[in-house]
Amino acid sequence: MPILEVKNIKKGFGETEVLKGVSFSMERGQVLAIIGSSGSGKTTLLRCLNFLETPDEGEIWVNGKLLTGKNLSDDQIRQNRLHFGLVFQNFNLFPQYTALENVMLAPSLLKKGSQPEIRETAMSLLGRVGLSHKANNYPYQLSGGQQQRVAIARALALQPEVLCFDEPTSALDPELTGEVLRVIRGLKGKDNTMIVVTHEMEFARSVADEVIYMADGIIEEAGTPEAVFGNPKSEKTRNFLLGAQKARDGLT
Amino acid sequence: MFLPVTMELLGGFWETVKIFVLTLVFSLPLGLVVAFGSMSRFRPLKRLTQGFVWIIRGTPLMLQLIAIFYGPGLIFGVHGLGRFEAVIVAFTINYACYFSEIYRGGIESIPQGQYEAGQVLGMTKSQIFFKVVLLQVIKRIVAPMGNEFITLVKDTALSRIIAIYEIVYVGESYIKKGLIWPLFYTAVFYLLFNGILTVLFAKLEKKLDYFRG
Repeated sequence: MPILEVKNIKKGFGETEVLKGVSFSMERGQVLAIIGSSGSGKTTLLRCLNFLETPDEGEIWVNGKLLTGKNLSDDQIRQNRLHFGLVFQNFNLFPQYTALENVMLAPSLLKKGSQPEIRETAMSLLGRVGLSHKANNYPYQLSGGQQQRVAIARALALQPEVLCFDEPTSALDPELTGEVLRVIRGLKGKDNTMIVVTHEMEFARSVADEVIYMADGIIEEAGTPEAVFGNPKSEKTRNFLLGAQKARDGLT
Repeated sequence: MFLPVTMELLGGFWETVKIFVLTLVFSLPLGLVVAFGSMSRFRPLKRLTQGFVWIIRGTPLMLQLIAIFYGPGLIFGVHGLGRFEAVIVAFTINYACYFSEIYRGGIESIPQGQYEAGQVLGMTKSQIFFKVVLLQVIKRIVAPMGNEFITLVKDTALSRIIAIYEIVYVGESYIKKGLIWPLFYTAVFYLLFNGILTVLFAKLEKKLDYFRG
């Protein structure tokens, strides 16, 4: 059974149709990279999965359980969100809490164990993102890359079934993207199912099990990284990848 | 002469302090309620609250004092509130409206991402407000709130319009006895009290200095 199944998701804002029917499914432990130009609907798709937006149509299934439906209560939506984690482009750490407190806050509020247990888990997560020594620093005392790594630890603390990354390195200086990508790469394993919306083509190519290229609110092409990057079938995909290649080589 | 005048003025200043404290006790939370009303997505409630705030901020507090104290008797012929109660009610409503706008500004200045981060971490609306947003709002509104507190200290003098024997009223009453200086001496009490407030607000600001955002 797939851990995540998305069926025909549609979402519009006023007159604009941002998602025109998106379907895909994922197995546990898979890494899915979603690429595509701005405005193609990648972020909206992630926001629908995290119930920050309500899809107009379509279904989201996690572990064989249907999450979407009409007139969900606030509490149902809140419960649904717990199946997913989201790492934002702009980190969105809570500025008044230290790195450790940021990671501990949600598990404490959800009573995921005793305070010492939660603290221990949080410390080990900070260790996993290489920031044990910054546990007591406030967000403003951390670099962008460090803040994003704390945000990743914070999202992991609730052990979501699917962890989503919304352009996790787009707000970072180029020299800081590496440390964040390394952390995400390090999370790959049988337990972490991840969806990464990214502009880092090399990263998508080397980490993802599956790549989706989105254009104009639909999945234009999907397949293994070798297939999508090495032998794109669609003209649009080819042009997009060519453009990305040129941009990286500084030829545009 | 100095000591008895000081003691008498202190008595008047006690009224001032009582109005100040009680007004804050009631208007600080009430202001939050009004702020939520004016930010409500339920249009009629939003418009109603905005209209109310417009009336309260658009008319003199002195007029509101008179209306609340004399209004019930004049309109309905019933015995309304006592003098002191009327003062507290009028001041509370007035300051709640001013506070509500400061709160609203503070709350709306918090980036949407903070709410969304709380949401995706499975927090409830009230957890997001109290655990994530509130302290950031407080940090942002300390300066304008300090202004309002200091204004309130001085506004208490308006209560003499319905014969509350606060410090300026006491000071002025000496004029009939041929003494002018006690009236101006009242300024010392205000200055000392506002000096203390200023120091306290500076301390609060410093205390919230440990984070940015």
